[in-house]
Amino acid sequence: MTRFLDSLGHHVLFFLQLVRLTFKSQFRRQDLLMQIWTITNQSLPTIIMAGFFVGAVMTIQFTLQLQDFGALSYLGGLATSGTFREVGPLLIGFILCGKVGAFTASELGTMKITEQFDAILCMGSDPINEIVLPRFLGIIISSGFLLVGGLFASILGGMVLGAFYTNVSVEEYLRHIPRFLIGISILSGFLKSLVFSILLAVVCTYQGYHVTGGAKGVGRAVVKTAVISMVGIVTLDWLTSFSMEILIQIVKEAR
Amino acid sequence: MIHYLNHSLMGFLHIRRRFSQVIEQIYFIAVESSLIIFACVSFAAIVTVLESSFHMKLVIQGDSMVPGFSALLILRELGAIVTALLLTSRVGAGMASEVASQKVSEQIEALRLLGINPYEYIVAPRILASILGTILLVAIANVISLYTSMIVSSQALSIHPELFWQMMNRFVSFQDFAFSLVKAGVFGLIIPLTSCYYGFTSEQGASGVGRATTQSVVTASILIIISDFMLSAFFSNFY
Amino acid sequence: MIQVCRLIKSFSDQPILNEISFDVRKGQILFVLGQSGTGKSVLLKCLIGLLKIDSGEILIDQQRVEKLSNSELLDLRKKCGMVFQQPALFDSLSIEENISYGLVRHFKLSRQEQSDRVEKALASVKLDQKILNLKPAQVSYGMQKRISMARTLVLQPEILLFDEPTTGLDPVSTTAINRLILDISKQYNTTSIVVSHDMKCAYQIADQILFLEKGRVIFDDKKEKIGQSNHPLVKSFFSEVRI
Repeated sequence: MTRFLDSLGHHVLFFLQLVRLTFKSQFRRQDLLMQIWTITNQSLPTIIMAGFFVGAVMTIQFTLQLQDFGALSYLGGLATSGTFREVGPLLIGFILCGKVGAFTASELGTMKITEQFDAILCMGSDPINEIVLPRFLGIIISSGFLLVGGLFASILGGMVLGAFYTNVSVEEYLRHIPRFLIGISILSGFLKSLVFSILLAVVCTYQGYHVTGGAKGVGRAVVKTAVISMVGIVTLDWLTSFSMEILIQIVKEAR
Repeated sequence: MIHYLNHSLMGFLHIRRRFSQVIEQIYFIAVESSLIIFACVSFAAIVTVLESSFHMKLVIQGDSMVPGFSALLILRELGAIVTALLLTSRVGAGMASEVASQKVSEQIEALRLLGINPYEYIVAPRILASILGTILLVAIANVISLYTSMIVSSQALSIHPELFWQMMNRFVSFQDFAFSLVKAGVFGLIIPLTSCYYGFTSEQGASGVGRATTQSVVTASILIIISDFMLSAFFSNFY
Repeated sequence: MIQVCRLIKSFSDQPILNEISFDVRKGQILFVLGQSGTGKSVLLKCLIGLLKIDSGEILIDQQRVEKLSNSELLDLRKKCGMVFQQPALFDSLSIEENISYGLVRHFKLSRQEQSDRVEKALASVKLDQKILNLKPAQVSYGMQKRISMARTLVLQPEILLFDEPTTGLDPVSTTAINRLILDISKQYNTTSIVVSHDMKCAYQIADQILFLEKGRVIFDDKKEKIGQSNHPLVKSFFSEVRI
């Protein structure tokens, strides 16, 4: 238990360090833009593919259930709402853990054990500012774009499945979306995604930067990153849903 | 790759020799991951109930259908997928990293020189262990998440536990449970196959190990999502 | 210029450096010798503040290194260059960008001045200008080591620390690097500390030799006096050198 709290503490301190550096604004804007471009580029195809299939699966499942109630016309609205609020950020978060999280941890870890960070220190620069920070911010910013891409892909996936599998026409699919997809839902979906990406960014940069033990150490860091971020995402997902639910109850009582 | 698939799967024939390894792997996969998986699946179940209630209220202004709806979602999708993705990170990445490290330190070559086929020796036990372990985990995870949904329903939605089970039974059938186990088996097959593949084909040095681990997580996750889609589509024909 | 006084550094309660003391005067070349694993690299990292020492004093130009804050350390490192055992070049940058890394960040130079300095540094490590646009992965290990040296030299530091500069190189490259260290020391009056287990190399170019064993100093004097030492390890090392 103490090890867990210890590790949590280290991550939080690292996070605060990065936040402080962000506002000192000494970071090289070029590097940041480069990172955003690289990350988005690398991950977009994968996210779109994943989003498409997630949308498709949601359609299948909801079809089965709605059919019994004759509420099939709500398929589009429900599936989209569920995806935007919950399934989208969650699954996209999972994919990002692998694509971006593991990748960054591996990249930084390799740099650490080939002494590149030491070399930067020896030339009088701060490797956290130069190398880690652009990646940290890059991940958070890119995930916004990636989320949008993934969500659209899921709508597409849902529509395609709807048309071919369930005989729900594209028009019918889209018709009820405005009814179900309320502003708060979109907001909460994006908020969740933001929280997930911050978690991912902290974990992968922290683990990568602190690798010890050669090639094996890099492997271990990647595993830890993947596990901690996935578990963290599920937990945060629950926490945010839970707290929003409580908030809503409180607001209702207050009225 | 054909070579790899061939030998890994053929390795099942000789599996009895490596039985202790299989047990060891099952322990690693199932038992050690169990706590985390059950916790996460419970969290996911809670969210499912809350979300279902939210959407139900939009459609029919009441959440009496929540038990049935969420139970179906959990059994058909959530239990298997969340478990599988979490296993991908812990077990998949772990295997890839382990095998890649062995490749980089030339242990795989050493095995070959001793006349042992590394695919049979390393991959086959893990495949068997992973399939069995995943099925076991998903079975228990499903039960736990159903219980959790019941608890949440009674606390947050004021649905009495007995009512919950009644409603649930109306919608859920044994088929759903069985299908989720089939999914679990498929996912359990995918994870070690991809992980060990990337481990064996990793490049030299630390960057090779890192890359192999990363790719195994990404590819396995994607394959899980795609196969989940195909299986869901296939199973839906039985309803 | 550099004074080390009773330096102690341990890892997990194992003392790696046990009361090390020595001086280096400006413009001198000190070789730190010893068997593999005796903490020679650790010593260099302590000098430049990459590792925190347990007790003792390190004075560089009268500054107490162990008492400097992180930002003060960054300043110190601008006049103190270290060349690592591994080339540690930045894989994603070209060789030219690698060499000018420190230049770009700490000096306000015009493009022309910058590229002049880079060319000069590259020439001093006897490498051709045409590799400037390549990536580190595209050149040999020996060349990477020399580029890594050029990256440090281009900043014209007053103090140079080398961690096993010739380990893993062929004899021709080894001689070239040794000559380079000597030339730079003479030309710029740099103070150099070289960690090595190459005795021959030490005897050829060092002014002063420091011999470590099990974390303690067993010889610290001008190189001419090394033949007079009675310590068995020093003697056996010395006998390897055919003079």
